[in-house]
Amino acid sequence: MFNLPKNTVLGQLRLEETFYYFDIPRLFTCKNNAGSRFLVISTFDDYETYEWLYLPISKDRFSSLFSKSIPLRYAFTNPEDGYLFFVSSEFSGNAEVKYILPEQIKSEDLPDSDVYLESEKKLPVGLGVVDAQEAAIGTRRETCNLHFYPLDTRLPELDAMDLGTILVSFQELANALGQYCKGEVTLKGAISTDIIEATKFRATQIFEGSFGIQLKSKLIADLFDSSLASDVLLELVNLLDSRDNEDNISNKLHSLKGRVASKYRRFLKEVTKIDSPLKIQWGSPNSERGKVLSISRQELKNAYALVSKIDIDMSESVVFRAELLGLDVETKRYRVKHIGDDEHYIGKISEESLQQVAHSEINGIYEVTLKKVIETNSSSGAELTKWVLVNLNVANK
Amino acid sequence: MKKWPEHFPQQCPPPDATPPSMEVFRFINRTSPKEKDFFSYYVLKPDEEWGNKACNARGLSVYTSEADCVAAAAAVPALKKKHISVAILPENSGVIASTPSMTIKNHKTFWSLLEAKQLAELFSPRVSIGVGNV
Repeated sequence: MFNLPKNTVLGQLRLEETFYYFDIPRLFTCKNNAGSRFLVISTFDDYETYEWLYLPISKDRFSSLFSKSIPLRYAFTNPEDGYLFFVSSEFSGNAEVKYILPEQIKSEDLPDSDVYLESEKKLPVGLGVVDAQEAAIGTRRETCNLHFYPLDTRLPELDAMDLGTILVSFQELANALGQYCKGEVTLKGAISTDIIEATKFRATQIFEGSFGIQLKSKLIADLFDSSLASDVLLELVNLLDSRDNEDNISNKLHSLKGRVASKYRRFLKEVTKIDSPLKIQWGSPNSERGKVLSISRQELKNAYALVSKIDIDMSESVVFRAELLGLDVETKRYRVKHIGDDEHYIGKISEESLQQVAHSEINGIYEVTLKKVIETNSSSGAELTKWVLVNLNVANK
Repeated sequence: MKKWPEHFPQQCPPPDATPPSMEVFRFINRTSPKEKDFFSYYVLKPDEEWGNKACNARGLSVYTSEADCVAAAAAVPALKKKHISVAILPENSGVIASTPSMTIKNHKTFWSLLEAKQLAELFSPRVSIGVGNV
């Protein structure tokens, strides 16, 4: 049997999984008695002497390798703790072990850059670490741990409906912030698929110590450790850090534009429904980012009240050129067609503008002002967006 | 056919092993194949306790396609530093069986009835781009 290094700082090693074998294991994982796992690659042998790189590897990093989120070479050039081990061994297991920094590794001692870890067999990798910063570094994914402390729940449990609506509202807020960060703010209509994809979060585990749920960005960070999901979390955490300061919230929501105000309002509403403080632990592959934020139950309630007020004030009016397709002052209903994108808007005419619009011409071209109103179903909590006609001016030809 | 040496464990080579019928590729440590490149690990370390690898240790790792060699060399730097050799082995030279690893389904083991020196004479170097050139 080929012998792993014996009596070294690596501990008492045992072979776990072999990915490449040629006369001897060439790419494999091994574990020591303390549970530390190493990914090992063979860099040289002449049948007498063997050289290896031993990379300490977390479950999260291993999982990322397995899911082909990161190539093999990246794992060796970006060790999670900043170092790895160079091992020169004999067949018997006598070995010399040295710390090595990734920049000291010769290119010829690394796998090609387009090689991924592949396996016919599905390995149970486990859930990974809870700590958001460690998880983010291990997986190169933005990681956001949400902690809730509801009073009337046996921890770590949370009503499925409450958790579901919180997660939906979180994702919708992330999508809206994604539009702002990408510079493609719209008030209505579908958000572009590239933004939806880049701001998508996945629930990766729940944990104790309150009710905790870990969310990770679906996509990994680019070579510069940047991602749209990272920008989104930066804005989201800054927004939450405004707590219940009216001026700060107002300034932020006005600068974030688009549908952020209504989505933030929805998120706060869902969180306040469970009557719990909120702690967010944000971890990022970008070492300059990440934050831990705790917001009290009362701050959340106050923030929700403030955002509701600001949301109505902002009320997201839209002005555009449209063809008037229908108008009924009896039922107070209108129908217009946006000249730019042919989208149809149908809704109620506001009481104040009834007199002004009464004599408008069907098929005439107008500057239309619509005000967005969000109605919430009191039992289901579902929100419905409606557009109220508040102004209709003949458009300049 | 020659008999397997007495030190071979029972059921070794495995029953599904068949005589080689195609090109066989093997990584070697020099440009031209030498005897040392064809010693099994059992021959190199006869006193070693091989456990459940006792049969594999008496064979030689080979591939049956150059593409598999190139893929292995791309993933494993030690193999990239080696050279590829190739042979069409005579039917009575031994037997070959699939011994896949988790990543490479096409890894095979060849149990030879020939001496290492004879194998070195049968194999010839194969120049491959990106392999054996570092």
